[in-house]
Amino acid sequence: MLALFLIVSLALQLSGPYFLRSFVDIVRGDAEGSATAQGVWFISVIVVSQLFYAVGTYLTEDVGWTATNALRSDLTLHCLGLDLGFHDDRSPGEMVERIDGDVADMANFFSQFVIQILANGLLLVGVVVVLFTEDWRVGLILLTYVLAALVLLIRFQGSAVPAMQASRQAVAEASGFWEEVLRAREDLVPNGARRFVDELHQRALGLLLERGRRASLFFRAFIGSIAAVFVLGTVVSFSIGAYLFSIGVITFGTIFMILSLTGLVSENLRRITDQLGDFQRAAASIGRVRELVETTSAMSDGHRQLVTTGPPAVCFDDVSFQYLADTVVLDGVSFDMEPGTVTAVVGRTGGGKSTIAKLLFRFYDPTSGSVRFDGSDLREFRLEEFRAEIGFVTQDVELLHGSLRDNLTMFDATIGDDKLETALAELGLEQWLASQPAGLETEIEGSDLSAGEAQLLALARVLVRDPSVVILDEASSRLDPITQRTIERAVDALLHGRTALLIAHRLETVARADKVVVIESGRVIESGTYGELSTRAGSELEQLLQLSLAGDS
Amino acid sequence: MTSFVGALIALLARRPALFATSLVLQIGRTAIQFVPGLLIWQLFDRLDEAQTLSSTVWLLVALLVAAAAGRLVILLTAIWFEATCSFSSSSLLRANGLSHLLGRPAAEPLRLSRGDALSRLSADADLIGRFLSFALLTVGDIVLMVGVVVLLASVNSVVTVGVFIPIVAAAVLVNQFGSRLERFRASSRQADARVSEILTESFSSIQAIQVGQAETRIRRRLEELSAVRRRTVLREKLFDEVLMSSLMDNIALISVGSTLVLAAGSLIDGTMSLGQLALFIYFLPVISDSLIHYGYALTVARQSNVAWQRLGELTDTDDDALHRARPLDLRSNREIPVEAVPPLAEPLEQVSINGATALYPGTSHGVHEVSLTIDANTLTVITGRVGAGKSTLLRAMLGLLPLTAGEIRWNGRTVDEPGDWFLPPRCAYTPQVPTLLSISLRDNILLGLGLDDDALQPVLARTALDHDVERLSDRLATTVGRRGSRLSGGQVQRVAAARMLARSPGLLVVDDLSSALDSRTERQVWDRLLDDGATCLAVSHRRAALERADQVAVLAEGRVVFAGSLTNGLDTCDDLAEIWRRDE
Repeated sequence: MLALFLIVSLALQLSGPYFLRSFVDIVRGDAEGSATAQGVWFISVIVVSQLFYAVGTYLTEDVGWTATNALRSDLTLHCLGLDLGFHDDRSPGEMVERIDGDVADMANFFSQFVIQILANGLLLVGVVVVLFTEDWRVGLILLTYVLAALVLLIRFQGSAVPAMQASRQAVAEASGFWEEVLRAREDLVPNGARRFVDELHQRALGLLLERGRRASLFFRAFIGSIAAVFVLGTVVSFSIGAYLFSIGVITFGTIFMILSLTGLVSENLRRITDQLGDFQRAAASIGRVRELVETTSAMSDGHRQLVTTGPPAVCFDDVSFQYLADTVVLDGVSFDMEPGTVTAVVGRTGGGKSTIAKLLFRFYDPTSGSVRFDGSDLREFRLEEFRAEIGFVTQDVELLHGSLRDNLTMFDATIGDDKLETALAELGLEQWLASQPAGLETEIEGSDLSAGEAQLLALARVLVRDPSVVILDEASSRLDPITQRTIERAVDALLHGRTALLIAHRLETVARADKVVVIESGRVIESGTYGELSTRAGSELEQLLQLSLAGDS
Repeated sequence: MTSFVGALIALLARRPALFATSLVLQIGRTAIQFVPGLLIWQLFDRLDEAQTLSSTVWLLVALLVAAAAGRLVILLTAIWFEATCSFSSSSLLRANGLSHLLGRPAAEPLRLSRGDALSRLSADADLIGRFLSFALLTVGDIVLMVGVVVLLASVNSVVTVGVFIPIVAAAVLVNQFGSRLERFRASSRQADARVSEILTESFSSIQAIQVGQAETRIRRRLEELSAVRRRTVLREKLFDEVLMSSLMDNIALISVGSTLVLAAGSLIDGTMSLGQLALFIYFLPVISDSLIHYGYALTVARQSNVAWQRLGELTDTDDDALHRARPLDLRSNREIPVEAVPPLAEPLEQVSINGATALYPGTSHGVHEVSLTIDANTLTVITGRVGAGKSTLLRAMLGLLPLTAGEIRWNGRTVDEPGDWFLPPRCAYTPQVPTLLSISLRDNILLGLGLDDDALQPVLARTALDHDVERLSDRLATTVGRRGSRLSGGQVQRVAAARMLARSPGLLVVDDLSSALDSRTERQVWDRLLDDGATCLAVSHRRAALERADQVAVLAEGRVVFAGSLTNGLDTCDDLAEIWRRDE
């Protein structure tokens, strides 16, 4: 259908030069007829051909957007599912640029490339055939021209890709920079870093300038060379036309027709070039998108169905982990968590406690060793089913710019208002909710909320679900003691009947744990029940407690 | 806000030599197109007259080839300048725009979400930059047009007039639709920003998305927003590219036809030669190209006008902040200059907050009529329940939130602009949830400060970071990852504290430093922080801080309910007593 529109349009264009020839021959007295009529015909075919072309373009545009929207959607899902190690290296701004920007560059390629190349290719063939019927020498010359031009086009079509790719990368980096800086305003501004940020910004903009300029130069050099080739085509066809005219084989009007057809051929080669240009940009983008698609999560998805019959037993078996090649974060960590019990991991900051939580959620997989659910390695389970069993309050709370409801349900429409209100009430946020101008629909800006409130909302996210395993990574670290007390019952209810992992760098929260694991520099230096360790003289926990009491009272 | 035209003039005036050169090249780029036209005219007439191939014909053919080569050279030079012009202008808008955003109270929410802001800094600034080069191209095109009209009119004025009437009609028609196009443009850009926003939000909250298993739901939301964008963009395209551009194409090509119709008589009676017909036919595609450029420039002009409004919305400024000329050093390999913080000219004696009220815009959340005095070489700890306004008070004092009433005094003198005053070396700040940049650990601490690693050692020691740094593979050169994700929460907090101390400020302002620290590290940090008699204002509910405090202030519902010594407070203030009791 789309192809039909374009082909009809191009076929009509082919008839234009015929009317031109008749016109010239008539005015020169070489032929009979009405010159004006030829002019009118010429106009008519142009108008109709343009209309067809316009409709075809619109339709292909529609196809392009539909296809790329689908690609964006798949790509987003894919990237959202990638492991945190992937995201650690990439700023959100960069991700947006790659998912939205790169894909946009591919839109035209998707929708028009094949059809345009096909339709314009057919027209090229048409012109060459027409000229062969006129005189074999003209046909041969034109055929040579078309082939030579095509060879040149194809040979040089990839030449701008690396420059374009680099330019896109610079755009992505600048986006990433803006996002980071806007997020860190409260860190940068009061510490007098505005000048530093401005300098970094200028440097990023400089990269944008250099790479952008280089890319357009490469691209236009390509287009410009093509234009020069077209002039050569005109010169060659004029020469052969003039020669054939001088020996009396063709009429003067035919020179006009040959030139006009050459013009048409050039126009078509240009459209093909445009397509190839789009293809260049698309190729740069496709390369980058493919890189994304081929980035498989560092964590393979398992195949095993997770059958839950109550809270599972969890086991860390000789788990080691490192983010970077030579920085060991965890080193041979082993401990067990009985079903339905609370295990606390304590120890100094930077010792690897949060990493234990992240491994249990499978944000990352261990470098060696394994984490097991009821004896089975986590890697065996389907990630989605497995994660659905886990309620996790992370150390740094991330709120989305959006409504309070969306922030609590994470866009899950099946969670009802009553559930949300109950959860907020359990956390002592009843009045706070009542004070929100639009209730659950209130738009949340991260900085409107205190960090403590944000932490309470993160707890509420878990309360509205019913996981069999709960991980609280410093879930109440930003709460004042009074608020901590308010939510104690809610937390107790949350932990009850679930296998729970509490991460704490302070010891007051540890007393509710059935078992305590002390971590230091990535190793378990001690584990046992709270009673056992806290009373055993000389135990690390006992020392920590002593220290804590000595310091705090 | 300055008008769009005013802004463009300012941008052009900033680099007059660059733009002038670019303009000359653009005119050269169009002027050289006359050469082939004239050559073709002569070629056809020679051939028509002589009916044979003379050496003149071959000479003319050779000149045609030479003209093509010359055009290529001019084209490439013009492109280089054009790109320089456009990037230099968009860079200025971006540099000014970002600076301006950073000049706003840093804890006040931006008027737009980050995703939206990104889309404006990226696409809208880019468009305005490109428009400037289009404007120059258009000037070149207008020169070309005028030249062509004069040339063609001298050949045959009747045909020329007949050819140009439809072209002028088209231009008028296109302008008629301008405002509607602008509206379509605005809504498609809006839809675009929504898409960018959901993506930015999702990827900046990737942990929350994965924890909440919201991946597929985000995808659905994205699909809805993408569908809206597709509709609005297609509507714009239908109108702009399909209707407008094809109208332009049509008109230009119809002109070729009208030339034939109008010239038929003159050609038959010999007042016009076939070479002149060739001249007309040569120039019509040239005009058509120029018209397409011109039409496109008009479109880009309208789009840029929308873009300019959108940049204005982003910065919300009514002066020339966005396009104000300033030096930019756009070299990608440049060194980032470092600077030393000058020593504090006048030692801090006392900071006082008098009757300060600060609210989050559009809410009643905040602090009300707070008064507090901080003396030199003392530790003041602000405490209270979640949402009591502790952080807000710090932010208001530092000028990160605007005061709606009350004042801040420094050594007894009123501070007019707290945001410009409470900066190093007077003051430095560790926010409650520090955010690091994805640069090296060293650069995160220094942020442009000229300290070498030796000078940094005592700072690392004071924040108990020295051992952590030892364990990192690249020490201080380690890149910390997205928002410091390669570091633990406690490490991030201590890096933020080191960043504050590296500035040797007169006043340390610390929001909840110890929330991610174990007791031992916490005490170490407090001891070392205060060991040289620092003046410190801190929010905390931890004993480690409270027991070291010279003054404790308790906030409840945005008001100070107690200020005094810990001992007094434990007796008289219930909130404080309970916080103390629970934190054991």
